[in-house]
Amino acid sequence: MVGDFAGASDASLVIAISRWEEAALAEIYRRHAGAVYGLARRVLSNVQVAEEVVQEIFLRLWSNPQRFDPGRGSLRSFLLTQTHGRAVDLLRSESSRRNREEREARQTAEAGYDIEHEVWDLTVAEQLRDVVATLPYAERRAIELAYFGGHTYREVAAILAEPEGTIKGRIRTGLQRMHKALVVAGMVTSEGVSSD
Amino acid sequence: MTETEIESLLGAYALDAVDADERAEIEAHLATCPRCRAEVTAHREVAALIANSGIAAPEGLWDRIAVELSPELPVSAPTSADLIAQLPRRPESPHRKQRNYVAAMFATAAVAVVIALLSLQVVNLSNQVNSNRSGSALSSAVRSVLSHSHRTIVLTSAVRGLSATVAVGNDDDAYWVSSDLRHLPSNETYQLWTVVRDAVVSLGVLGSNPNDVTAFRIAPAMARLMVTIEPQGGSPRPTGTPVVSAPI
Repeated sequence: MVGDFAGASDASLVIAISRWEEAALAEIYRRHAGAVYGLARRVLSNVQVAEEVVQEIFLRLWSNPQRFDPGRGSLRSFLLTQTHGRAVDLLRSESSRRNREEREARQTAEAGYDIEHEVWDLTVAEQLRDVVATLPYAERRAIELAYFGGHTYREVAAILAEPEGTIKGRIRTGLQRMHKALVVAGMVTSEGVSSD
Repeated sequence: MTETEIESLLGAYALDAVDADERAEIEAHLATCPRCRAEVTAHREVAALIANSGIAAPEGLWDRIAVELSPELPVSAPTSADLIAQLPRRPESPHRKQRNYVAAMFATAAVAVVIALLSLQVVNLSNQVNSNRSGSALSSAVRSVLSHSHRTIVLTSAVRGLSATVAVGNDDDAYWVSSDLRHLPSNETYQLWTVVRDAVVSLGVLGSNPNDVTAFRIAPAMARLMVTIEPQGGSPRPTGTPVVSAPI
């Protein structure tokens, strides 16, 4: 299935997709489907809907590969941005409101719900944990609720009983703080994620 | 919002955590502000790293995606295609019979020139076959190719189990000779494409009857043949994923 594409860069795989090379999409799937699925499942808390999102994201790439611009970040980031946007759309739709309420009730009962726990099993977990650990708890919590919980910053403010301005500031500052730490750790370049 | 207010929302925006009206305003600003675009890109790279929970996608999910890759009908139309924007338009008359000797030119010609020449070579005689079934020149040509030394290219769809056959004569005359594709309604047509370097070039419309014989010409620069379903009259560029395809 993977053919000659195992050693190809993400950018050249996307070019191959524009020539309808199925094996190129298969290789991109092999590299990134786990992350796409993991994020969709995390945000939606529903395995079946998460799988549908994964299908949609890869079929979108197949149909419109030109939407990926290598000058504007990595393919992984592009795919996860699309995944998150789609998952949040589903989450915020009327039909999913009930599911969401059930999910939130469940999450409230869960202990250890945080980024550090989530990244525990990664190959790069050690470095990433160090980076996440640089975040003050308040910033980390705001980012978790927005990103993994699919909440708007206004909703996060309501949940945490903090002013909206404080929350949007914490999200931005937290992301900037992690970016700096990731640059120092060599996990991203100052312009984007490094290729390894 | 002021620029400062917009900047203060860039983190929340990157995480899809702003309201729809704020989103629209931020995106309008991003269109003209490279610095803020770069900030959003950086935020999203961070998010992509912390999103990775290290789990694998479920077994069998790829198979369900692969089934969708060669649908019998187009799933969506490419938009503002940077990669495909360089495509030449389909020739005005797909019935033109022009037999240029282009082989020597491939060595030096610019891609655009190559593509233009390829487009001029389209020879689609399907209408003639339809209107003159008893012994048209095309039928004779096909019979001649098939009865002499020739090679075949079989275009397939692994997922759908469809195939179509192209016969290629010794002088690179090629004929679409048979397929198990379905008949299309009269407002749709099959269209044949080739890939030259990274550009997709139309080789002509095949009509709604997938068994009409169509003639075209193979050139050394062609890497691949593909067939899509298009609106009647054909499209300047593919609007759907291929029904069948094959490397040349």
